Amino acid sequence: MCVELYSYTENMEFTTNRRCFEEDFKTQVQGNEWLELEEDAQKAYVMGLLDRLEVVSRERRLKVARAVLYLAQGAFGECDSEVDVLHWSRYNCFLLYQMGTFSAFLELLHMEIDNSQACSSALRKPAISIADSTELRVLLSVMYLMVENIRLERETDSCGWRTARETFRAELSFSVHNEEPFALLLFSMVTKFCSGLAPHFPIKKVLLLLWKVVMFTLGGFEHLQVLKIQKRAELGLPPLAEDSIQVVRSMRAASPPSYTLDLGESQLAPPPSKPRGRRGSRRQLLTKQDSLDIYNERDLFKTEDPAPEEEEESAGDGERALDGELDLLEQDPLVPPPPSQAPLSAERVAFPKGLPWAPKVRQKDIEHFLEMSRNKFIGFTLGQDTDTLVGLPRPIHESVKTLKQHKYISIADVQIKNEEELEKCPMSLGEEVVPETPCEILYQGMLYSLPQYMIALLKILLAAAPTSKAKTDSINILADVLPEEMPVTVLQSMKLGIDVNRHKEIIVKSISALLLLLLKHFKLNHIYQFEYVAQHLVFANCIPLILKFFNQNILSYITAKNSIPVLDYPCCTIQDLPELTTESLEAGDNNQFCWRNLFSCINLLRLLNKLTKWKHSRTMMLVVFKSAPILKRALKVKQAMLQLYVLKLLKIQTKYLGRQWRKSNMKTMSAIYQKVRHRMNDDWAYGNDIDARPWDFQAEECTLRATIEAFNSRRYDRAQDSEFSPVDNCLQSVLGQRLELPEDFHYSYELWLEREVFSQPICWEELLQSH
Amino acid sequence: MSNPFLKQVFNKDKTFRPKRKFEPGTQRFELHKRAQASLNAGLDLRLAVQLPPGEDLHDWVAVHVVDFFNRVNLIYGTVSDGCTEQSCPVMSGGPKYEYRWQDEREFRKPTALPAPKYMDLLMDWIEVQINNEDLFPTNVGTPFPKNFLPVVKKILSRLFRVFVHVYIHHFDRIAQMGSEAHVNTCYKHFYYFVREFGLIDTKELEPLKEMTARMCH
Repeated sequence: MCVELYSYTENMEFTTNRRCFEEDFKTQVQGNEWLELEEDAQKAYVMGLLDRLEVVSRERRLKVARAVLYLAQGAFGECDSEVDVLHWSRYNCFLLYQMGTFSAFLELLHMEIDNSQACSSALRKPAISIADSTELRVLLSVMYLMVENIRLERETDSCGWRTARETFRAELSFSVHNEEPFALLLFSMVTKFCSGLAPHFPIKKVLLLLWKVVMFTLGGFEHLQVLKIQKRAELGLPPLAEDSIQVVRSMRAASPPSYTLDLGESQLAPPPSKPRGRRGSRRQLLTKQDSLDIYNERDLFKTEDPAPEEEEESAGDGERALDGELDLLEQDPLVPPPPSQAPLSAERVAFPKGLPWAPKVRQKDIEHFLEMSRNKFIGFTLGQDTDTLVGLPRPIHESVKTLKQHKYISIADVQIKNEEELEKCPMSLGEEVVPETPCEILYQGMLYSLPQYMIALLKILLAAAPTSKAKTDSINILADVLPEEMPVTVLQSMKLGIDVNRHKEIIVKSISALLLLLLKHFKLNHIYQFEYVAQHLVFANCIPLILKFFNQNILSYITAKNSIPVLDYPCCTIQDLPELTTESLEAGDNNQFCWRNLFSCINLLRLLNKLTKWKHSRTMMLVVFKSAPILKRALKVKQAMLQLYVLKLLKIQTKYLGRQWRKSNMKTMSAIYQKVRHRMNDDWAYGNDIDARPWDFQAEECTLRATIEAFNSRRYDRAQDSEFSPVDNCLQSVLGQRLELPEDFHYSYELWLEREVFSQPICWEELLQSH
Repeated sequence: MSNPFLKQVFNKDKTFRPKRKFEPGTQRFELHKRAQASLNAGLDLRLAVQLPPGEDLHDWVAVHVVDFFNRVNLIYGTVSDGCTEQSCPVMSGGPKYEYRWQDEREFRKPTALPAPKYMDLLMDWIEVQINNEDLFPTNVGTPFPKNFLPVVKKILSRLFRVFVHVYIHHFDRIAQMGSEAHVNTCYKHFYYFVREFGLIDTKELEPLKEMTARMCH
């Protein structure tokens, strides 16, 4: 999806690119157009173009780069329709890649990044605009177009293209010629930008490219699911009970809790005529769940394209047939289901028969349960034994049997156990064999500066959040959207306003998607890699940041219309620009809601879930930051996936929120019951056993930190002079060492011996002392 | 990362209950299964409430009281948006029965209060009792106090009033939600339990006598 690559302020540059190309093209090829050339002739032209890139003059380089960009954009001057443009864009990108364009542009990118003159001139300027990032924008755009077009697989791709894809993927993942993986270069650009040393970097493009590169090299969500299944099989774990992507797709959204309950006032339910009006007529709630396809962000601007553009992989289905033996618990809820939306109707609500998720139990939970029972009935405990049931009453036996039926061992559990063993026996188990996957390489590369990367990403996210106010000393993320001359007319101001908001939305989208993808991949790779990144995010105040993000009118964020369809690529390259009026700008596009923002919100919620799950200290942070009302407001969005992740966050807090809250929020409680997976023995609804011991929080995080550090140092620290490095105590080896002796030693050695050896008393006691 | 807010949150004066060592696992597993069963096909609740051999009476009673409290709380929660000062200006059980609130603090004399207010006070009061370590000790070794059963009786009679009010005044809401079976089951369980151990006086049970006669055999 290359629409979001460009801001509207850049629109004029499409024509500039075309002009640069056509000027160059006609010096090389007479008579024909690009589309008419044979493939060989096209390749020859591109080779020549790349040659002409290697000039000293920055201006001339820029012109050539623009010509390349025009090709990557699809040589739209010769196309008739948007479908054509996109087709040629893809074709050209493959061609460009095969001729080595990416490496050429990578070199140019290095040059631009290190261009200290550009940095210092930018720093000196009072107001930075897109003019300051021209070169970088062209380079990054070419690279983005190449990555995006080559990344997406089509069934009709030729063999050559498939090979090119794999080669490109490998090139980006692994360090070539001792260079770091490409993603790390982009990360370093992000930190440089945040440090204030390079305010002219076009940060939106950098982030978009970084996200897509990570997606390309490591894989998207669908691929992750495949990897997870594979890994479970490798480790000998039973297959997953359900395909979570499928389950979520088929969930129906719950009606949002009504205002009356929120305010705690007991008013009579409003008469039927009121409900819509109260929420505002312009806010169209998302209605049909079936038409929502969160992973398939259709490019709604195109009408003709047969295959929908895939933003992030389309949900994998069919691969996971539901296990026939799966016994979804047919539990009738003990708590009544939520009432229908029309309060006074006498209709019965139809709610799904079973619950969507099979219940899970962790090994820990079984152990804990048994320990408590043993304590009560027998008086002593057996540690982690879950098999000895002697002396316990029959109901306990039955309970344990049920628990074991739903036991779930995650990959993380296995990895943690492994890690414990490796820590205990470093010598006997030897060095761990770590497969060098792209994910592993990325982690190794990121390890050193990871805190800075996370802080930088969060800083930018904060600046791009809709609720943040620009402060003078914070970073300026709008440098690559602001035009050189500020708008004069009302129309221009409106256009810029829309552009700026869109810019921020895209930044939020890239960062949220990037962080989620990284966390998911690291978690699969090794749980402690995930924990390392997560901990740094938490220390950098990610949790309050996300909560602050949601502390806004989420409905209006999701239904925001910050786009001007006629100015979007590729539409703007084909059609002549119509007259823009303030009315047409206000009307925006035809969509009910903004995909981009919905996607960002869901990502951020998932992120928050990943950071807080099973972490008592972080869950308490949610309580302390009074996140419950904020999260409840988010439930107003009638989209099942978003609601699911909100409900999960509420579920982990409910037992700390008090009986009064639970009583007044029955609808929310019911929604949690219906939509969120049950964990057996989880007392979320009653809150009977609250293990809220304040002094444990710090300890918990510290223990985790220590474990992570041990993991990192065991795997990645090479220079180790630990206790375990072997000691050389062989006499022969000492004698065999070559020593540098001074030249005149053979004259003076006898004297030296006398002084240094024979007359020195030997302190035998020192041998017994440890040094 | 010391956080002053965290300390205030875990002040015992707020509504956090300490860990209950009543093997909630066992208890809840049994009831959970039976509740399911009775909704589906009828396990005998009368048998289920009987004191199991070897079990301590106080323990058995205590676990049930906490559990009923939680469940009644949720049940009331589902109808609470329809229970307002306007709809229920007094805490009543139909035209014949009215309950007045009395406690040791603000309401020395029995006072007529609107139903929602009565409920709040009632639930809060029960919660205080349950959180009281002297009454409901959490450690396995600590014995129950001598006045345990009298206090339990008072708790359960008050909980019964919630049933009365919900059944008589808000049953239409329950029906609308399609949850009669659930509420009935909870009520039956409660009823059998208090009968088994004689924890509520017969005259207190009057308001729902007919319904009980139909439902509980």
